[in-house]
Amino acid sequence: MSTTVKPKAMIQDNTRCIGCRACMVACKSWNDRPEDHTDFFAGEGYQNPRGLDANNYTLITFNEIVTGAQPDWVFGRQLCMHCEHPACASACPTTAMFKTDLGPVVFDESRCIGCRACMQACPFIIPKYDYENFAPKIHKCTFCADRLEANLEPACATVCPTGAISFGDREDMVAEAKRRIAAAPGTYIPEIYGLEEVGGTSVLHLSSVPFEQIGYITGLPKTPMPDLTHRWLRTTAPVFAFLYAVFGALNWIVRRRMRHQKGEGEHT
Amino acid sequence: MNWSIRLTWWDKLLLTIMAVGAVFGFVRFATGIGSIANINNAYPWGWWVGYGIMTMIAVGGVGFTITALVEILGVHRYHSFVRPAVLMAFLCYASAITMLMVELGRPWMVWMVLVSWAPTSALYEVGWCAFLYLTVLALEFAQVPLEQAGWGRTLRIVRAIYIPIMILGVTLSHLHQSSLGTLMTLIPHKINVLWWSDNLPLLYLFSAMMAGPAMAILEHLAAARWLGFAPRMELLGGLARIECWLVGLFLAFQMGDLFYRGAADAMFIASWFAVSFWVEIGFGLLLPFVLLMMPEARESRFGLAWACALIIGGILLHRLNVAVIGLRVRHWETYFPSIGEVAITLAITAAALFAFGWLARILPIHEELPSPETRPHAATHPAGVLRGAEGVS
Amino acid sequence: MTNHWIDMLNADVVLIMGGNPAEDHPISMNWLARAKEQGTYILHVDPRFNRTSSIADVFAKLRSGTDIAFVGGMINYALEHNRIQEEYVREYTNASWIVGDDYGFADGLFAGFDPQKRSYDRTRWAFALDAQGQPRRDPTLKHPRSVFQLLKQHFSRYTPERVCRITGTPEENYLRVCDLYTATYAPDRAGTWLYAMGTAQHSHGTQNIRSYAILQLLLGNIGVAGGGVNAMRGESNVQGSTDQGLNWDGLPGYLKLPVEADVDLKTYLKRVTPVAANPQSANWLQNTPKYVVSLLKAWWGDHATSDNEFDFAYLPKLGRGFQGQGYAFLALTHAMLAGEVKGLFCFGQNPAVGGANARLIRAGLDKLDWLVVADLFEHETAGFWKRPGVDPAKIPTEVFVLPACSGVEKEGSIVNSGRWAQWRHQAVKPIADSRPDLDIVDGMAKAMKRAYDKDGAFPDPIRHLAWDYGDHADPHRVAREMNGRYVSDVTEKDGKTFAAGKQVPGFAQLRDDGSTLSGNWIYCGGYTEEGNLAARREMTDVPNKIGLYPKWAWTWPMNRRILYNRASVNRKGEPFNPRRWVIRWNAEKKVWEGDVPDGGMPPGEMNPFIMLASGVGQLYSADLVDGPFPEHYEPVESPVKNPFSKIQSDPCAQVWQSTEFDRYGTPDVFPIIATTYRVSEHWQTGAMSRNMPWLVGLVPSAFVEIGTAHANREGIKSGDRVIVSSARGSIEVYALVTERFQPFFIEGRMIDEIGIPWHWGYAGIVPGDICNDLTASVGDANSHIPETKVFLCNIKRKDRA
Repeated sequence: MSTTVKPKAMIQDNTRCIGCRACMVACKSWNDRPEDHTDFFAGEGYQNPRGLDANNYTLITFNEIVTGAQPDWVFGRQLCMHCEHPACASACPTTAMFKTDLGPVVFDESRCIGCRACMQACPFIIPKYDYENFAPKIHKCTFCADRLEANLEPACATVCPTGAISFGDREDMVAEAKRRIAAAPGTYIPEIYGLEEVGGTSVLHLSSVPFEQIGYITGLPKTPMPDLTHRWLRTTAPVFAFLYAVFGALNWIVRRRMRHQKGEGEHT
Repeated sequence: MNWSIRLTWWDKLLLTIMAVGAVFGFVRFATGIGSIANINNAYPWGWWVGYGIMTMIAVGGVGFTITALVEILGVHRYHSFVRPAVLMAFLCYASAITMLMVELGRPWMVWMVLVSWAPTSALYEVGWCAFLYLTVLALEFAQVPLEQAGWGRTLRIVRAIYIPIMILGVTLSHLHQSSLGTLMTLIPHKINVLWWSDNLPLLYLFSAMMAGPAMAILEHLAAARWLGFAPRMELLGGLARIECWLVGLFLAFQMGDLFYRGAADAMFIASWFAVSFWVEIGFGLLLPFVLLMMPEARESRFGLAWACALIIGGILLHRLNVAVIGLRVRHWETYFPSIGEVAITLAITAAALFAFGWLARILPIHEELPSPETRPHAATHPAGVLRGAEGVS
Repeated sequence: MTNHWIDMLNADVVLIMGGNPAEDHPISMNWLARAKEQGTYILHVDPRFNRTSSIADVFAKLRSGTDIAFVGGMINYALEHNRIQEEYVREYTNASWIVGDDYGFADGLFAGFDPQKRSYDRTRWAFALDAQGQPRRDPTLKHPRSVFQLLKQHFSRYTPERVCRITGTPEENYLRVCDLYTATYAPDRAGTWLYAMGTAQHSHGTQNIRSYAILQLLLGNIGVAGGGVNAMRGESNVQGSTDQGLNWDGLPGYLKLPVEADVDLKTYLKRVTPVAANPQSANWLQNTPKYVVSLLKAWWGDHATSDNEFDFAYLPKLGRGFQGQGYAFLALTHAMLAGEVKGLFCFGQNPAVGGANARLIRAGLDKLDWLVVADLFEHETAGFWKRPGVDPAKIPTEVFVLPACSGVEKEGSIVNSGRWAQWRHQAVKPIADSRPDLDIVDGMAKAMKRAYDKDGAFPDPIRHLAWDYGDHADPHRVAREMNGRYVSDVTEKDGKTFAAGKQVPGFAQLRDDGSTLSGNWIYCGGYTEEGNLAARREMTDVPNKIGLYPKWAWTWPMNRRILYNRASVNRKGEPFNPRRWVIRWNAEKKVWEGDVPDGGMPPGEMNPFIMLASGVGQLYSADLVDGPFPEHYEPVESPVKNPFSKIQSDPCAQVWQSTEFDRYGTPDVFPIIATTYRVSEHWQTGAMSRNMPWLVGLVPSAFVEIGTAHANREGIKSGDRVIVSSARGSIEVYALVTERFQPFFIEGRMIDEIGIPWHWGYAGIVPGDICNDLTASVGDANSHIPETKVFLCNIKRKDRA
């Protein structure tokens, strides 16, 4: 009886997030990313940079929401969702993108040809490219796959001061997320972002306001994205065989007709 | 065999464009894609993919379409169009692969596709098929220079495998032309509703078929003008009628699919998406359809040329719309092809045109032309045909 | 803090005022987030909606400088609705004490004010005494001159409508805050009060804090779990630095420095040792002589004997200070500017950027003969002589920069806001030749001793210092000395003996006869024969799980986690809150259970506030120079005429006017209120954080936050360059337009407020204009802390300035 590896997941509880961005710095530290050079904030409020890029694998969004005369400041986080059925991995022609048993969707630089199909495929628009490099790479959150191997938590989860980021077995995280919503319905909107989107992901977000108000991509289908291409691609072999046979047969008929015509022509 | 030709002003222009592109290409490899191209994180695929790869492969469909028309459907009337079609297809696919070498972030790793197993990836299938198909096209066309050079033994081998290779080519084309569409089905919510469809694979296959007769007609008219022979209008008229059917059916298919998906009202929302859609449908399908319906247009070189050029333009715009223009991005993200991007694609296309023009002058591509003197067996084997082992085309 | 961080979990309501823990103490948010999850209400009172407000249940906006009006209104609300914990107030505060007839208050002034001296004769505020010389009392609290009635009368003017017209708080929010918070008067409910510089850095900052103490006493929230008056300390070890007496007028352990008039030890001890006001007061500070003598023995070792008054003569004595204003920071900077300060040791501080009226400070630095800076980076003060606009050739100061290493590169302890002294180990070796501050000071002391051995102006205090922490100064030896040890064999009254050389078990065992030494009496008990208690890391909590963790590190005093915890039980030792009890008397075993009791005597008559001479909580107190009760005054620079009285600003505030840099603005030229604050991503003057590329990447340039409505009127958009000016200078920064600043409606007028993070200077990866160029040399009446949290300014788009 083999022991099954339990896949991991993360809860991003935006009601506990205070926008301190320790996660962004810890991520840059662990992944050796260089500093950003901006003059002023590139996004809304203190948001910097404006979006994920080759040097920032996670980002806190700053969202001012005004209801009546009461202002509110709500924070959201962007990072790779490590989908259960990753579109990027299914789109990659060299399996340079793949999902490991522990949950992370990781990038193997040694296999990449730089076609950027993963960038087109990702429904959350996560993978980024360092175009200025002579030998560019795909850049995105790795779920700290190397730390997981060593039984550590991802860097962001480790430094978050308020416990906005929780990490554990996926089934436990799903249960915990549901429990929080049930225990404090006034605090949370009854939605777990990432639970069912695109067939489920490994990062479950909770929020006090609708997700589109804090910079999340919404309206995503529940079907895993790879299913959409799989429908067509799995017919490749039978279609090939079928078409080859049909075309071969038609061609044979055509050539036979031509031979007969020629034969008759010669006889006449 | 005489390989040399006299360079016309057109040849010289093409060579200049190629030189300029080469400089940009050198810079791209020395300092990275970002130094000359505008593609970015919001638009990872731009002009290079939209025009240089997707459209080149689409118009390379002239190869399998004309071949299938003659060899599989048996419409021998058009046999003289086969050689130019196969050569065009070969050069189109070669262009696409050259473009790929520039477009990929790490082109020196491209062999990795051949040693990987990624059956879930549409791009994997496209890569393999395109690689195999280029080989097929090369083998199909090889008869011509081999014949010219008098390499009899090799020629016999090539002719022996012609039938199975040809059928393989037609089959492979069906697979990868549709897979280009399959590629884009992966992102339903990222492409504007006007273009995303479950049926993208079929739409892409169909548009590649639509490219076939259009490209064949355009090539014939251009060759007639530049190589100096009278265009065979009755044949062109026949192709034009076939094309008219194809355009009409495609238009019906695309519009029908749009209505079936319930996305028809998106046509009337005031947005750049809708504008691009109307240009694509109007100039790329409706207008050529009307032109091709008219006998006067079908019988005039001018009318045929315009109709076919519009169709090709429409296919280009369709591919760009699905992969680039129709992408939903955050409001501050933009993309417009840079000079470097355009220069390199122009150079690759110029190289293809140059190669075609050169080969057309030293090899018996066009049946309509008097054969070059050094060609043996001139009388018994007219240009325009490619032969199988039995010598029956 | 009277309580501690984890104790937040025990609060039913947390009120955060004058503080922004989400940005400035982010680690503390762990506890606040968990508290919130358990149902605790978080209330945030601030001029601006910031990252702390984002997790608060109620945000009440407050015009900077009107804290006393806000809290005074809450006091009034509690008194009006009879939301006071009666037994607590009656027994444990001076509510029942009768105030003497000399006391009075009218139109903003208390009795005894001398306008020439700008000070009060505080003897006028004395209590009425009975025949035995004890303060008279009325346990019914009905006597018209009782503290309780005078309190009621004083705060009766602070009605919600009046308060909201002054503070600009929407009345609905204000009443919600009052209601939620004063509901903690119930014995089984507790409210905790968190504050920081937003409270303290005002001309009446000390009275701000006083108002919190009064409210908390009325609600019975002092000494209980989930209660307290809790300062969130600013630097990572500022708690430690004040504990060690690094203030200008203090000695270690909050002992007072002698003054000129203290001609001998006896006179000094008589002055500083309080006398119990009544027999029920334990008056723990009556033990002051033991702590002073033990300190002197620690400093001068064997040389200090009873014959030479333990070298009391070697202690420096406080004079009147610069221009009679003492020697707190503002006086020091003015003395520097006047050329009276020859040299400055500047350790871990960057006054060129961080001090109020920074242009004055930098001009003062120009006058120094020498400057010694010890810091991790070459910051603006270290490089003051090459600052923009200055010719280094014209500055004669000799500057020494000693590279100091960071906290992770050295061993030692840090005391957090909750008084927890947590020992830390060295994680990595210091870079290059950077050294721990201990090594630097040790090196300097040894060098000075050698120099003074040869000659010097007044060599004996240095020569005779008992200074031996090892060849390489060992923090353990310092810590052991802080705790203290026996100098000679001692036998206590109960027969227990202690051998010479052994660590003293606690400050109750310190003696005034020279047989013990202790570098800091409040740390006595932290490094005993048991070992280094600050290094303990046991995770077991007390049985009722109120988060005390008594064996995690060590808290002063005597590992007591919640101060004044005797106030959490009644006279029989029964907790007011049986669920979240802190201490309780076990009548069978005759011992206290739970936290270390604040005073080990059995329950009964003795009062819980053992550190006060009166033994009870001071609702009325003559200890502060500007009034026995807090009273609302406007900040020194304000656009509003004080509607509460004819006294515009605190009459005892220290308002410097002696130099060209001491200019004050009027609302016609500077109509906007400015406040200053921090962001999570940067730290103080940016001396460290603006040298960290990742942090600079997050928050690169200096900016000012301006409300959307205000910005629209000025034509300012986010990203525009703007000029912010005050009477003292002007700066150019980016503007960030935000909905989180909204205009205040004060007495019928609309008044705007803007906020400036003050982290930038001319050094570092990204320089920026210095915010403190705008602030004034105005000191709090009691502590002299600068009023950097509120001043007048103007703001214009750069092209329109």
